Amino acid sequence: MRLIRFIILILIFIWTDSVNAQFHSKGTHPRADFIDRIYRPRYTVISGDTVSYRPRWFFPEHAKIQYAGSVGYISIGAGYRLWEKYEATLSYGLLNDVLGGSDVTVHTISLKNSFFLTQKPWFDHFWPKAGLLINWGNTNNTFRRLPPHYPESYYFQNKVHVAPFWGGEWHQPIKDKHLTGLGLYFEFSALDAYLLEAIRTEYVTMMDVWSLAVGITFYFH
Amino acid sequence: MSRNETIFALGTIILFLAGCDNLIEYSPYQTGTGDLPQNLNPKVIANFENKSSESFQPFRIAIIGDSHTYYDDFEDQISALNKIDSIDFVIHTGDITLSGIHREFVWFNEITSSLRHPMATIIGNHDFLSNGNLVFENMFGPLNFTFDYNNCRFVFFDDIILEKNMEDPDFEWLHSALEADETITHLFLISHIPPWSDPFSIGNSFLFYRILEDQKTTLSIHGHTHSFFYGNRAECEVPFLVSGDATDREIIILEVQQDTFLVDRQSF
Repeated sequence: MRLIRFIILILIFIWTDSVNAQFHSKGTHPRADFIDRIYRPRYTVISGDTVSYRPRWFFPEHAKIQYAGSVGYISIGAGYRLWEKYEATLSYGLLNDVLGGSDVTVHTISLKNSFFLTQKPWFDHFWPKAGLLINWGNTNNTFRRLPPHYPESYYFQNKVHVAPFWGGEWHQPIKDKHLTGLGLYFEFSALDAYLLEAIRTEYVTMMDVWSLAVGITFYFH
Repeated sequence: MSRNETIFALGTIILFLAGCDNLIEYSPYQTGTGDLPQNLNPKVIANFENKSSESFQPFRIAIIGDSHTYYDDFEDQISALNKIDSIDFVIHTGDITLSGIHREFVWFNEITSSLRHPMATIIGNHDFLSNGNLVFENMFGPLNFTFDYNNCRFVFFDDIILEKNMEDPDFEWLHSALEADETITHLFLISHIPPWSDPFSIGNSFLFYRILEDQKTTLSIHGHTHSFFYGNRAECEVPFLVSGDATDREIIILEVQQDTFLVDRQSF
């Protein structure tokens, strides 16, 4: 049931996205001129040299929408491929009554540090990835620094968790005004607290600690 | 397929197949989702109605506590309890998790589901972290509760203070819950934190002791300190029993008789 709801959400998202992507930059769309203008390269003169730059250099290179993965029922994020092998995505995840059926609301800010494991994609499309999530969870009774009414070092902080992950993405290049490609990805992440129990006890094994996330990446021009 | 591709594909398939139930976790702080049972304490109490008798009958119970994430010892403790036939039920004195996060509750539930005896559980301070108190309440029912067994009253009292942002325990509830008529043979109080422990202010400790004395409590049972204690304290006439943690690898057996009770420690 949960999965069906998620798939419907994804389909709606894809549909609305493609609707938005169909306008023409000249003519019908009221904001076509504006959009054209912000994409046009600009020039500036620095010490006698003319330099061209992309006006929207800050615009993220990709955006992700993700289901589960210990960062909320659904999370959305955007980021950059900073190096050949490294990609960073900052995302916000929400879990509440409507999205996920939880009695409480949990807001999670997550930094996904992904590393590409291979030089070239497998089967021309599949990129195996691994990396580290840094999750900052906001809900009741989570804290970075212990509130002053506690005795000293009564608890370890429980707001920020790191989670190593591995997974992969099927990348499909597409021809579109805004998008260069779409990626369908999955990830298995292991929260530090769970991983610690897998190491510390025999009862919890390495099979018990993983949390699955699936999502879609949109790659922009 | 190259070797790396094969390893990757195999790893993925194994994880998908192995962990279908637990693979989807929205957040470690989630509540109300997942496959945890509900209302365990009320269910246990409802079953007592057939088992318990109107008049006093001698009986034995087991006391454990502070299992936290000592899962290996805790698993052994549960199988040791399963080998003891003479006990009527088990009391867990709280702290069933370390951080009150989702899978810690799942693992506790997995281990205790093999227990042959009914178990009543009180909340501990660690179970209150993040949204743990809400998960606990879903899983075990109301945090304060009482039941009568063989004409003895058991009062389970949530005395968590710091994690509720310094809210005082509900002493009015405690006072009325311990209010027993003369016909009740013994009165037992179970709370996680003993009244002399850190979170209690001097005023709260004093009030706790006086309520125990005024209501003529037989024995006050706690956890929290991770070390066994049984005896009297200068501040209070009522004797105290404190369970250690799962790593102590022992089970406390409380034998309740008409005019007294006996405390025994069994190692496993």
